[in-house]
Amino acid sequence: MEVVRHRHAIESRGTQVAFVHMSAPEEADRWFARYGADDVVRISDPGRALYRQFGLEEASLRQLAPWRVWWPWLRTAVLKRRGFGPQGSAWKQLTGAFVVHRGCILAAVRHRNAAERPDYVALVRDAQLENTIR
Amino acid sequence: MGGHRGHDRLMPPLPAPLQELQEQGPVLLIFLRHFG
Repeated sequence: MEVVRHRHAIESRGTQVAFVHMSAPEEADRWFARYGADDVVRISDPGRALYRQFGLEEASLRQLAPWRVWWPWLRTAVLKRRGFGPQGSAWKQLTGAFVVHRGCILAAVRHRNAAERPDYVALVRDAQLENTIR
Repeated sequence: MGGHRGHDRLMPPLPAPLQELQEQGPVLLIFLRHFG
């Protein structure tokens, strides 16, 4: 998980890291423990209410076309026998990242393509700059 | 970095653990699509 590699750099800037996911808490616990991040705050949102509230939509077919989008899902769903079933259309869900503090969103990135890999450190840096300017 | 970037101001209500965390300091909140 890319962000775990950058977690120290992010937290050294005074920003904590938290996750929202669509899986059951038990599955998330195993996954975060595998990456040595079992202490991180995480929210299970299988109904995707938070995704919608933060303006994260489902991808269109065009957005799903690149192999980098569907291959990770296919690998997880088929080869590891996970990913089908209760999540329904969750595989089409677009993701994003937000820097939030005291009721405000300081920075936001909403992915237009599910294969995008954001620069989380840059996002945090931008949020700090924005907060300084205000 | 790709995607649509922006600076919103209104934050939706958060579940209690996240609410408490973001009161203590800035939080990078990452929405995941799948594990794997």
